[in-house]
Amino acid sequence: MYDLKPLEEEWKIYHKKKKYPLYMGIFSGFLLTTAISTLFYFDMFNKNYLNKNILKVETNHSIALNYNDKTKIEIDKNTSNQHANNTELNTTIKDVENHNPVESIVENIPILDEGRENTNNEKSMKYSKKLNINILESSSLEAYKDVEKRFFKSRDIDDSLFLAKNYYRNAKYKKAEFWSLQTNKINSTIDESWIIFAESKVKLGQKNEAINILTDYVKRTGSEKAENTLLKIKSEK
Amino acid sequence: MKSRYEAAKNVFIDSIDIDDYIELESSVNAYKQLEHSIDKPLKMILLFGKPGTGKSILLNRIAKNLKYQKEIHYFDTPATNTKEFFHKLFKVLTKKDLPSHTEVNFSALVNFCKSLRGKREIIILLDEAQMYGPDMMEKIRLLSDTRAVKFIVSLHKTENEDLIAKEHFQSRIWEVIELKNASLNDLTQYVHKKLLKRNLFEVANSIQEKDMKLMYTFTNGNYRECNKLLFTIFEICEFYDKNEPSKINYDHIPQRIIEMSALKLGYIHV
Repeated sequence: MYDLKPLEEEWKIYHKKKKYPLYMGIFSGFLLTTAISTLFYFDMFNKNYLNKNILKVETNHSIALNYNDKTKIEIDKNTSNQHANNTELNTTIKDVENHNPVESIVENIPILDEGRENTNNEKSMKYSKKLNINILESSSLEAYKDVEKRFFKSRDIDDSLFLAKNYYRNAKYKKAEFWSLQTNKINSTIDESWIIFAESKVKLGQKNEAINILTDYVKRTGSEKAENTLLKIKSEK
Repeated sequence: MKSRYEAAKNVFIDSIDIDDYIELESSVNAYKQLEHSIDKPLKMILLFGKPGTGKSILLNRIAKNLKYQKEIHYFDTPATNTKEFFHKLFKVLTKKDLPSHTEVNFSALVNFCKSLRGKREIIILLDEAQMYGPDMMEKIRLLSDTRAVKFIVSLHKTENEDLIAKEHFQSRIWEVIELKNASLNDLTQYVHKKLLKRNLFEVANSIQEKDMKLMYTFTNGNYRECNKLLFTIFEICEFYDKNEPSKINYDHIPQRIIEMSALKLGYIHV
């Protein structure tokens, strides 16, 4: 047996090279994600910055409103220049009303948060789904049953011959007889199948029948293996 | 203790053993087509395909199965010269050995074949026929014209050999059977059935679908290449099983081992 070390080393180099495109892909993906995140962050930052400035403007207007109210009271009290002050107060109120779209932008922020929560929920759902994997185990007997089922669908003689051989080896001669018969029905020229069929019959106490079957088969095909088995069966007491 | 992989490895030794023949849908079709063609009154049948597509085993199988029904002869190794070929042919036709220090007179052989027409129908399976020279092929063609001898010619598929098939024998070869590489499904069945035939149930189960896909990409569905690859895979598995068991997983064949085998056989390179 040869030394595997050089081959292992060669494989390590191959494996590393094979992974290059993957690493490049991951790196590119990372760069792309970072770029998108940065753009998104700046976008959000700009929006927040604008919001803050607008809010500041709004606050200033409020102050102006209060100031004007006071002025109004003072004007009322003083009962002088009333019209001019009322005009100023109306202008201020209109200004505040004109800035209402800014409030709708501010209101959008919690909606974004909800979206994030949903994504997290979806992730946790996916995770919980992954945990529900059923692990099935099968023993050899179940495997034979699978092969039997497969045979009835496919009529594949490799399956039936496999079953015949294994059942014979496990001393289940009735089953071995059945499965070798199935094989013979599909292909009547397989030596091994006829031999198992005949030997199963011998084990089941039907020696004469086994001899007759093998004699016919040997006449038909001239099989040496079958002939040897026939002689063996005949010589057994 | 004997490793289970040793037995698995031996399953894939590349040999033309009819007992190892695996029946697949594609091979059954080719067999039936060839059997049907033999029954037709054809002078020559051409069987061609790339190396490792199962031409030799198909010829072997047909020779074995029809030996009690027809006068069929399988020439496995090509004769190195015309003299040797006609020695073999003389023995087949006359059922006698050629006396020593004598040579076959070709014209007399053709006449002898003509005299056999209607009395005997001799089928000769010529494997690896691409190794016969143009002169010898011309003589084979003349013998087939006697209609007493039917030739089934098996060729490798290359551009030159296509030329032989198409130009040289165009008017004589009436039936052409082409064997192709296996599909993924055929190759999977081939590997599993081969292992099941030797009762290596656990080993067969350890080869998963993705492993087969990988092997298929390396071998392109060629049976001979697949045998070589699996032999190497199990050889490596056997080594690990005996020397470094921690490096092997009995439930499935690691992709690493498949790639190592492909590296060793030159399917992939560092």
